[in-house]
Amino acid sequence: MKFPFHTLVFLLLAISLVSCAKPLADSTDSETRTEGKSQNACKASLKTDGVCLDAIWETYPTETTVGSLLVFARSLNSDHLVKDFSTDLRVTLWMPSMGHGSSPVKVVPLQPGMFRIEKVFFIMRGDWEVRFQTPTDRATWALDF
Amino acid sequence: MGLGFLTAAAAVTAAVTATARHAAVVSAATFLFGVEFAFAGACCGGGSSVAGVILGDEKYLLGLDLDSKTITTDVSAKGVWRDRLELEEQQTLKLHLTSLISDRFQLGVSPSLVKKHRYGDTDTSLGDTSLLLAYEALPDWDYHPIRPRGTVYVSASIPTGKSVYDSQSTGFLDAAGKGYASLGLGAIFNKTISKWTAIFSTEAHHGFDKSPIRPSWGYTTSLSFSYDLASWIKGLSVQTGLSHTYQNGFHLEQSQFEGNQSLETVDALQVTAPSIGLSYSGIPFLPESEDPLVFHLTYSDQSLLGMPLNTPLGKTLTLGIRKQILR
Ligand SMILES: [Cu+2]
Repeated sequence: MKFPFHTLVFLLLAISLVSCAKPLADSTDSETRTEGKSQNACKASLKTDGVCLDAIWETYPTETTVGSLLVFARSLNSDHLVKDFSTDLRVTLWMPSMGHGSSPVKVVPLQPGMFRIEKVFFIMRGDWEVRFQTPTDRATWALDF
Repeated sequence: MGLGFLTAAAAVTAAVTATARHAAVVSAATFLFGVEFAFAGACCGGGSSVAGVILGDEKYLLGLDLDSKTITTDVSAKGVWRDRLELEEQQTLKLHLTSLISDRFQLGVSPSLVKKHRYGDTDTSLGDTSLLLAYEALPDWDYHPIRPRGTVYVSASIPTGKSVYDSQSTGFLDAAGKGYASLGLGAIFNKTISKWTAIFSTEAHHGFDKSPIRPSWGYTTSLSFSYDLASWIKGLSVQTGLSHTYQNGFHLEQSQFEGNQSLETVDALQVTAPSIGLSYSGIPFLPESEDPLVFHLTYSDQSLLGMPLNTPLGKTLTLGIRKQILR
């Protein structure tokens, strides 16, 4: 019982087919996204409302644990909290390239113009959006996960 | 029915056995297809119907494939790779039932069941079902030395599975379907020359609107080669194949403010998967039996070749069995 030569050639061919696909490095597109912005930059601006939404992570989510996000509504042209900001802030997580969301988050108003977004969970890695919506305006914060 | 009966039947029908071997090799080679595409995307499966098409001399095709896929990486629409720390496991059980309805027409159905495991949680749900009507446009009754056998088909994908838009579960564990129906048109050419069998297939499909999805077109193309190792171990053959799937970008209806609806654009997806496989035709310890069983084992990896875009990447191991019932 001998192993046919053809088979060897065939297997070599199969292995050579299995050369490498070239992945882009994990870090190449973090440019102007989450980090490196000036302190005054808005994460998301509600132009109609004249409000800038600043966000900082209280707990950063991982692939298996939920995160929480603190959101401050500041006036677009000053550094003051907008105390009369709508309490009806709706927040969704969305993956625009694939057209799907994630599990729903919970919006907790802390004080006028301040919110905690709880249960922030991304179901896969990639480019996500945190979408903010008030009764009169909407804005998007794009981030990498 | 004893072993003796089967052996005797096979001995008497030597000619049939030769045909059976031919059918077995062709049939084995088709295993490489229809495996990769079950979950081309996180959300939307692409799909080729080749695994359910009779390409040999069978009258009926009865097949069962179990795919075990591990998703290791997510690739963004810009081609950035991000490895997952928490792997996702998906198992798909797919049944293929195809029958000749005339000399050259065949009708098939392939339902599927999907089990997803992630975050220590497991969910099993029905996947989409594909229907198939195929026509042997270019028969190869005389076993022509070069001219391939050509089969054209129309396939329909019925959204029997829940989509991500209907999902109730974190991580979409219960979403095993595309969420819309689609119609595909395909062609398959296969040829066996000496110990080699080549199969080329291509299929284009278009989806039908179903709120909130306004689907688009996509295609799948595959090429595989199979080599018959009967001279080494009777009934054994090895295969290698390459498949490429493209799904054009599509639109989603999004309600933004009360009553206001806008269309959102979702990016195109593409993925390429090389595969290798081994198949064995016959009933173990009964090498001469007629209408043998075909077993196959295939491994494919979406992270090895091509320029994947906007898709998770996985490695899939498929174990399958097929009962051949010859004409
Ligand atoms: Cu996604």
